[in-house]
Amino acid sequence: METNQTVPNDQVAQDLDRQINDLVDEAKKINQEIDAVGEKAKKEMDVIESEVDESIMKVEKIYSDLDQIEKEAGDEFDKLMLEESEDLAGE
Amino acid sequence: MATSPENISPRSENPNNANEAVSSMSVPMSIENRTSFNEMSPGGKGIASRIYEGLYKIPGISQIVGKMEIAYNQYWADKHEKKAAELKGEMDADNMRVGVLDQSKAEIESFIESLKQQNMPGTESLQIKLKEIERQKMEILNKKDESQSKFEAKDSKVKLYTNKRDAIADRLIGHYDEKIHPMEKELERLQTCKDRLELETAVMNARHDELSNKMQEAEQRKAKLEEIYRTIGYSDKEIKKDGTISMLAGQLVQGRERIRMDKEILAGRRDEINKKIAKVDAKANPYRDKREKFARVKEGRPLNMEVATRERGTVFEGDETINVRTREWKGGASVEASAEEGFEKRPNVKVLIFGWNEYLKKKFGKATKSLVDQADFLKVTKLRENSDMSQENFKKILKAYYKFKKVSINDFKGATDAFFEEIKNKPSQPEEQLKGEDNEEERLDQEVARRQAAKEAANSASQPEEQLKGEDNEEERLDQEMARRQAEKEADVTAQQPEEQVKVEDNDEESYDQYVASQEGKKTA
Repeated sequence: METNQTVPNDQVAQDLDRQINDLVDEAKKINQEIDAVGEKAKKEMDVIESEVDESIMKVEKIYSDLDQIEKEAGDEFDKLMLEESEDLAGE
Repeated sequence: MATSPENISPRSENPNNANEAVSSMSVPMSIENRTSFNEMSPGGKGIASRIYEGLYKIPGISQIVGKMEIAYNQYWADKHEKKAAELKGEMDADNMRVGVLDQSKAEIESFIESLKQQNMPGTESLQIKLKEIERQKMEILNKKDESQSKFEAKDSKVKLYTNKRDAIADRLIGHYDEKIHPMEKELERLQTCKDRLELETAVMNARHDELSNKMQEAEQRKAKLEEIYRTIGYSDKEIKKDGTISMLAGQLVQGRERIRMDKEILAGRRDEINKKIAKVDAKANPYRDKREKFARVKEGRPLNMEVATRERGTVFEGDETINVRTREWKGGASVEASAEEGFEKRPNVKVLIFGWNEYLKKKFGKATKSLVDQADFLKVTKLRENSDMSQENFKKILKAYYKFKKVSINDFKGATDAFFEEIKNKPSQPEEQLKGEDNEEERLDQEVARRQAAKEAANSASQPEEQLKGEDNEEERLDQEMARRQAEKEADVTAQQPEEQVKVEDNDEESYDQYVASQEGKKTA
């Protein structure tokens, strides 16, 4: 920082400049850490989401199978009931 | 569920309406079955349409239960019983007739025998009568045999239908069970993912808080340095325009913004994942319900539609509200934490785990299964043992960790709160460490005083500056330390005694040494 201060103030200013520079470095490190944490969180989320999606896919497949099982059983019940109805009517 | 034939409207009694009844049904029926229906007799169609009538009102998802209920309805048994009773009546009547004929036959035979003993004529006509009775009896028995066959056939049919119905139901239940088990397993896995998600979120929040604190600390240090710049004569404009300070401000803003954005993104993703899980889990409940209903219908027990909500069903009930805690940053001052909080020495993870385990041992004995395995905890959470952490964040992570590890916290319900309450007011760092810091501060204060006195003496003696420079680098280091310590002290004094806030004059001629001396004097006073 340029200034027209007296020499002692210049020294102090230099000192302060150095501290400010240190602080800048520190802030940069914190930012790097924030980046790392963010990146790590993203990766973790990706892993969890991928596992969740995989499980959801499996569960949805099971639901679809169950629907199919129900449909087949429903058709069989229908067939049986129609047969029985006709049988009763014919007696 | 209104599938009982007793509730059937008169319209469906008419077989002519049967076609209309089934074709207009929202009940999905296979093409094959529709074709069969169309080929049925009017009577059969009438019965079928009556049977299906109630199924109109059943939502698609429960139609299989409705169909099963129809298949197991008492209606069929009643119908078959009615027919069987008719046949049974006919057979009984035939039996009676046969009995009457047998009795007549016996009487005639007895009469013939009597005539023969008395050597009287006329037995021939009675013999003819006997033959006639025998013929009638044979006819009746033949008819009875027919009825008997019909009855037996009917019984066989009923058994056949019962067996077929049970076979379909058993197959349905069996297939259901085969699928339900892996479904529950996958849903359990999703629950674990959800628990892991909660744990990750708690850990990430703690990490973000830790970084926010570091940011806050840096911001406060920046503010103090700026204040010192002002004291030695720099205007706010000059400070603001300074490249390094601008860069620092930029870094701090960037950091804050990045944390805010990361938190938002993570919260959004967590919300999205939770919604996905909740959606798929909610779909599982109707299947679970149906599986239970199948068994009940098959057992012929009355259905209780008011099924109590299972605990499982409540796991993913609704979405948890995800509060994204955004922070407003106003020119370097954190609005979230006070300055005291910002500089508060917080315990690290290792200390907290140790403390928690000790607390558990004290409360529940050493054998408690709830003790936290530090290595596992650090492995799962990916935290460093020396990571600073607020008690609040540790509490959240601990709860999420127990949930993830499937350890019920009911066993030590309230203990977590009690533990954190207990340690709330305790120093978070070992006392020795704190004492050590005090000593260091004292030493620095003494050094500051000594250097100050030396400088003043040098100034008063009008010694050339070269003389001061004669001191080695140690002096420079101490000067820096002095400035830093002074800045901190100034902040403390300012915070504690606002009324005595130092009014720094914008006097370029006032030296730093004088300022330091004046501050020292005030503090001593």
